[in-house]
Amino acid sequence: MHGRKNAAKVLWFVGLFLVVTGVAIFTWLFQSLGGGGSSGPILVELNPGESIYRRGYSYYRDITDLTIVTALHPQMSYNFNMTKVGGTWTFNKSGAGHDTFSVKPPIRGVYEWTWLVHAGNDASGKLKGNVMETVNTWGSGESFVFIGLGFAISGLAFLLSSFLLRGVKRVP
Amino acid sequence: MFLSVFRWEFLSGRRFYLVFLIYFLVLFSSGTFTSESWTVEVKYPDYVSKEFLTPGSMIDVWWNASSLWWFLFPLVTAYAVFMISYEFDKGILRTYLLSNVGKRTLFSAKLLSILLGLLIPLVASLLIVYALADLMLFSSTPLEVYVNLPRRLLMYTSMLYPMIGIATLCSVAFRKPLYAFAVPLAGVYVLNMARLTGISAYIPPQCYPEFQGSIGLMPIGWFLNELSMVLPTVVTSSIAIVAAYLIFIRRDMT
Repeated sequence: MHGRKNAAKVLWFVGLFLVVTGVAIFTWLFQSLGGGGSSGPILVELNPGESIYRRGYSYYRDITDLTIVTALHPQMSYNFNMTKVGGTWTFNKSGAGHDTFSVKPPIRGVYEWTWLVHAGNDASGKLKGNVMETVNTWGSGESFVFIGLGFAISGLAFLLSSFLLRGVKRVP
Repeated sequence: MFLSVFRWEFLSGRRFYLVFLIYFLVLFSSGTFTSESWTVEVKYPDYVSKEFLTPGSMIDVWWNASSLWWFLFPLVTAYAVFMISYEFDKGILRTYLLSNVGKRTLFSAKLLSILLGLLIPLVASLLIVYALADLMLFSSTPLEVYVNLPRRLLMYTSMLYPMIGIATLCSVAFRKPLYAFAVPLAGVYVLNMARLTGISAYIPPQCYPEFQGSIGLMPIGWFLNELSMVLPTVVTSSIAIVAAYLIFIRRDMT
């Protein structure tokens, strides 16, 4: 009888933990899962024949809009490359001067990007320009429904079975 | 002796449900993830810089320190009042003392159960939150997901410690549970509303901006800076806890 009571207690607390977790995760659906923003213009200043190189990583959610605006000197050319880390998706864009393009990474994850800006050899004096990025990335909360409900329902099952184990009290 | 007193203090009665409530609120409030961009290599004609980065450091939990503070403070105070209020526990205290449990043992068991009662839900919810931030990354390399965890824990703990200090002192100093609960709350919130850099205003929101914009592993300089910002709070809270201890062991239990 004592063991049964203890088992009921364990089931009660495990169930409570699962239900609380499930409900909390379910409420994440109603929070904004957005992110992103725009980085300030990255200034580029190069002598003729020089180039700069930048490599970095970005984490994007399920749905991403990435807009890049270049305002470079016409004699400056750029090459932008983006690759999914651990995937096959790649994006490449090269051009010169003023340009606008947008990139839509297909799936959530970490992306590697590289920038190469080169100033033409025959330019006279220092060349200036800047690059600006606007990122809008947000996730679909769908996965939280299943995870949250999974936790909550299994927790409820534990709670109910703890009631069953506890049995009926004897009435004097 | 200490262990059995601690077990009784931590698990008995309805106190444990407050731990569940704190767990729920922390989990509830930290579901927003932030994602970031990080430049690891820059090569200019006369300048080269490179740094190391792991995928897990790209994602972090967006955590609004001030709002968490606002709802956690009443809860922590209630928890401390339930734990060490004299009026609530008068009978139990007498039983303890009759059974040769020293006041020191009793106080440290109660304090430890308050600390664990706050830290356990915190660690549990952070472990879940980071795992859910990126399930794919978690399933391939689980440890990378938790890169930011120590930093967040430090932040939460530096916020919780003053709460524990204030709440412990008040619940020992005021005999009536209602006063023990209401006086610190009123004090903290009124001071805050009056913009007198009250107790609740000065730690978390101050140390928060340091963390807000930065994603990734914390450089050692920042870490030390953070610790120095938290230091006055830690000292004040330690004084509060020592004062609570002195009041507790000198109080007449009859």
